[in-house]
Formats: sequence, structure tokens, C-alpha cells
Amino acid sequence: MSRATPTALIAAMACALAATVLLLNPLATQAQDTSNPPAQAAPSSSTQAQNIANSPPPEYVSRAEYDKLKAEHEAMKQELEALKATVQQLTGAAAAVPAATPAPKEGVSEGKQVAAATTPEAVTPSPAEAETAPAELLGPLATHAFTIVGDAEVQFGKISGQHGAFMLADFAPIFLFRGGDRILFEAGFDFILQNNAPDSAGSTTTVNLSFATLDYLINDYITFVGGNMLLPLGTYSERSAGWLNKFPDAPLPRAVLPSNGVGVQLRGGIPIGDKGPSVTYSAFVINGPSSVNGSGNADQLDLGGNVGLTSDGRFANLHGGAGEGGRVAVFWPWKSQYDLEVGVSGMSSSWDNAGRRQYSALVADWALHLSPYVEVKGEYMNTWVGTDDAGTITPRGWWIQAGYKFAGLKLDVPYLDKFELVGRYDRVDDGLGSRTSRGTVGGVYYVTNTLWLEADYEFTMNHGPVRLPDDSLLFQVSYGF
Amino acid sequence: MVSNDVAMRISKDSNTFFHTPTKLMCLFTTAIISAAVVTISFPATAQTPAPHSKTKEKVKTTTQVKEDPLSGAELWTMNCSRCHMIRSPGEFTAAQWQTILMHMRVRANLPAAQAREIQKFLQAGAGK
Repeated sequence: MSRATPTALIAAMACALAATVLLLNPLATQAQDTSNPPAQAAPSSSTQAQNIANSPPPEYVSRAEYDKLKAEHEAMKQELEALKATVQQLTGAAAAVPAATPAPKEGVSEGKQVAAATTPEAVTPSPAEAETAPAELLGPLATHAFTIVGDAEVQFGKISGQHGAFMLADFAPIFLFRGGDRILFEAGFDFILQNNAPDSAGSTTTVNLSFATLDYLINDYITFVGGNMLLPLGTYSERSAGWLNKFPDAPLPRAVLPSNGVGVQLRGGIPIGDKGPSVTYSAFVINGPSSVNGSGNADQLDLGGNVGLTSDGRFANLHGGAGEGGRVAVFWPWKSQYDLEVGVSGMSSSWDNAGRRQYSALVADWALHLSPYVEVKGEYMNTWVGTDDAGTITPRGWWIQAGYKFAGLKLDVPYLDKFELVGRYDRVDDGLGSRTSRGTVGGVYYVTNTLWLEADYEFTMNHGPVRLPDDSLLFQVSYGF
Repeated sequence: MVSNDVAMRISKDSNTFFHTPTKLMCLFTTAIISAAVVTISFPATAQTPAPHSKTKEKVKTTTQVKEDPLSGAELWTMNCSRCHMIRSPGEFTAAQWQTILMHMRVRANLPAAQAREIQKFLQAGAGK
């Protein structure tokens, strides 16, 4: 066995050390990469593999890699700019944003940066805050909390054959009380001011309970709802608050459907993948429609009165049966603010006191968004009502609504960018010989994202004994809070 | 010079046209469709400069970026703007957002996971 010289020994140790470092370095790099959150990780796993494989020293990048990263960066910047513009329009703060918008930061995931750029007046979350804030905030938050949201509308109307008038169309607060992570009580009211004339002087304030429900989140896919519910027949009844509806009034054919019901409901949403699409469902059991005088005559159908407690204090459903129904829908976005929602809903219930006559409804609804500027939506509804005096009648109708935000023209004209042109056509057949169709054209001016000025002209065509005013001119100020 | 008869006829025709509901609706529909076609055909013209090179590679890399699950901010824009103008995070406190998100999860049938992501995002920028 020969003796090695110290120099040779040191050289051998240095070689062994260098070899160990080279062997361990890629492993360390991989471990570090996997520990990074996805938003901050460099491009993709395939890119990382390529980096490792093309190893001239790992701290250098090739020209191809540099160009690829640069192209990716440019693409992200363009997407950011486009998204910023769209959300600026939605928030109604287009004028204020350019000055207030912080410059995009390197290495930030695009969604978070978009959000930061579009909420100039807010305390804008930085990416780090977005990651860490929930953990910090959820701890000290109270388990029970009370919140009021809602809307209010002031209106001026000039209806043909009547004097023009101002009115407080609606003050509609929604009380929300959260009792922990799973329980929510919500109640919506409508305060309406009405003239007492010609019966007496003064005015009367009417308070309607729009809905009042106890919600319990059973799990991620099922929520129990009980109480006075907005019925998921189509989408209008659940999405008709003054600052959601771009017109001061409801589509005519909604009159053939009950808007509320007292009962219980199971509902929820099931995601399809992680890109946003989902399937939603609602299934309810309620008292159902009733008869004003108990008979099955066609003109006595009451779609909203059977709330379980009668005016003489009796605790009773007016008929023996219950009403059952539900809705199934698919929401399919293919990119941000380009989406289609299609739903089918229906219900069935007996309605006369004897429980011999049946009310059934079938509704199809759809809503299409093509960019932040174009919206088209509508509903078709058909009902079948068995009656004592008119056989089975079929009240039915449909409506379609379209809107276009002028910001989509990219004219950068002050005020014009905050304007939306809207139109609606609705048609109803009451099943008893009267058919009414109505066209509405108008516009919405977005002072802010929740304060709107609306102006609409409606022209109505009547056929049959039931007649609505021929023309109406309506102005409305809507505020959502 | 247009004779009185012709002028009257033009005036009468114009009035008839603009007071005919069906034609007015047709005009409106045409305007909406035209505007929509312009918007969809030339998306974000002002904001998006023309790509300068390697278009193919850009498309590929953009797809790679989109492979991640949607962030809370993206879900916020995607879901909230379906029914109403979006609300800025700073409009409500973190506690209020928790209550409002619970309300919206029930009302809009939002999938729970998406509602949680939106809530995280809104609470991160909530007002005090």
C-alpha cells in the first residue's frame, strides 16, 4: 500500500467535495422549487426540468429561456392591461384609476395584481397580504356579526293619461345576521310610500317582508334554507333588487309566477374543475299558491297569499297539498367575464281549497356575457292552471334584455364611457284572452358602481280586455348599499 | 328645393318610423348587435399593443399561466359581475365581508371553495 502525499490527499478530498456538491445541488434546487407557492414559482415544471437538463452552470439562462420568459412576461402584461380596463368600467371609477393605479410588480400572480389595480380607493391588498391576511384576520373576527345591505330608489314617472309624479319607489334594506360559520339569518324589507287619496288625506308607509330565511350551511355542497323564500323559478326573483335590475320595473310575464313561498329548501353549487364552471341546484317544498275565496275559479288564483297563517289566526295551509319545485343550472365561463348560464326550473302544487286543481310552472332562463360590455339575458315561462270555470288555462310569456356599455367602444370620452344602452322586450298572455307586449329602450348612467341614473321609455301594445297604459317615461335613481 | 308635399311626406314618414314600436326595437337590436360585434371583434384594442414577436410562443406561455386554479381576485370578477357591478374590497370590513359572502354563497349558489377564495381576497383589502 503506497503512501499518498498531503497535496494529493487534499486534491482528492477537494474533488470528492466538489462531486458531492454537484450531486446535491440539483436536488436542493428541486426541493426549493417545490416549497415555493405556485404563484411565485418560476414558469412551470417542464421549464425547470429544461433548466436542469441544459446545464451550463445553473445560475445562467440560455437565450431561448430568456426569450420565452420575456414573451410570457409580455403576454401577462397585456392580459393585465385588458383586465384592468374591464374592471375599471365595472367599478365606475374609470377616470380615477389611471393616476391611482400602482405599477405592476414583477413576479406577482396576475389575478392579484389585477385586483390591486382596480380598487384604487380601497386599501389594496399586496400579494403578500393576500396570502397572509386571512389567517391574521379570521382569528380576531367576531363569530357573530350584524350587517345591513340593500338598495333604495327614487323615481319620476310620466305615464300616458296620468300626471307625472315623483315617488320614493322603494327603500329595501336587507338585514344579515351571521351566527357563526354556518348560520345566517337574512331578512329583506320593502318600504313604500303611498298616497291615501282619494279616501283620505296624508300618506301611508307600507312595509313588505320580501323574504326572511334562516340559512344553515350543512357542508360545501348543501345549504338548508327555511322561511319566506324568494323562489328560484328562473333567476329574476332572486336578482331583481333595484341596483341589479337595469329597468325600474319587472318584466310583465313574471306576473304568472309566484315570487315567494313559505317553506324549506336545499340548495348549493358544485364546481366543475377549478376554472370557474359550476352546476347549481335548488329544491324546495312550500305551501304553494292558493285561492282567494277557496273556489277553483280562474280569477281567484292567488300566487302569493298562502303563508300558513290566516287573517283569523288559524294556523293552516289553505289546501291539503304542498308545492314542490326546483331549479338546475349550469354556469360556464370560458374566460373572465365571458360566460353563459342556462337554467331550467319548475314547480307544481294544488291551489284551490278542495285541492282538486293544480298549478304547474316551467321556466327556462339564460344569461350571456360577451366581455364586460355586452350582456343578453332572458326567461321563458309557461304555466298550466286547472280551473273550475275555464278548464286548464296556460298563462305564459317571455322576456329578453340586452345591454351594451359604451366603454366597450374605447372612445375615452368622459361621461359617455359610463353610459350603458339597454333594451328589453317582454310579452305575457294571461290565458284568459288578454295579451300584452311591451318594448323598453333606455339607458343607465353609472355615477359610481352602486349609484345609477336610469331613463326608460316604454311602449305597450294591448290585445284583449286587460289593458296597461300605452306609453310610459320613467326616470330612476338607484343606489345599492 | 323640396316641395311642401314632399317635405310633409318625409316628415310624416319619419314620425311614423320613430313612433313604431317594432321598428324602434329593431333599431335598438341592430345597434346592440353592431356594438357587440365591434367589441368582440376588436377586443381591448386600446389597451393591448400588437405582439412584436413570437406569437406562437406567447400563446403557449399564456396557456401555461392559466393552468393554475383561479385566484380569489379572478373568481371575484368572474362571479360578482354576473349580476351586479363589483364592489371594492375596501367598501366593507373583514367581518362584514364574511357575512356578505355567506349571504352571496346562498343567494347565488356559489360553490363553497370559490366563495372562500373570494372572501380571502376581499378580506385582504377590507376597510377598517
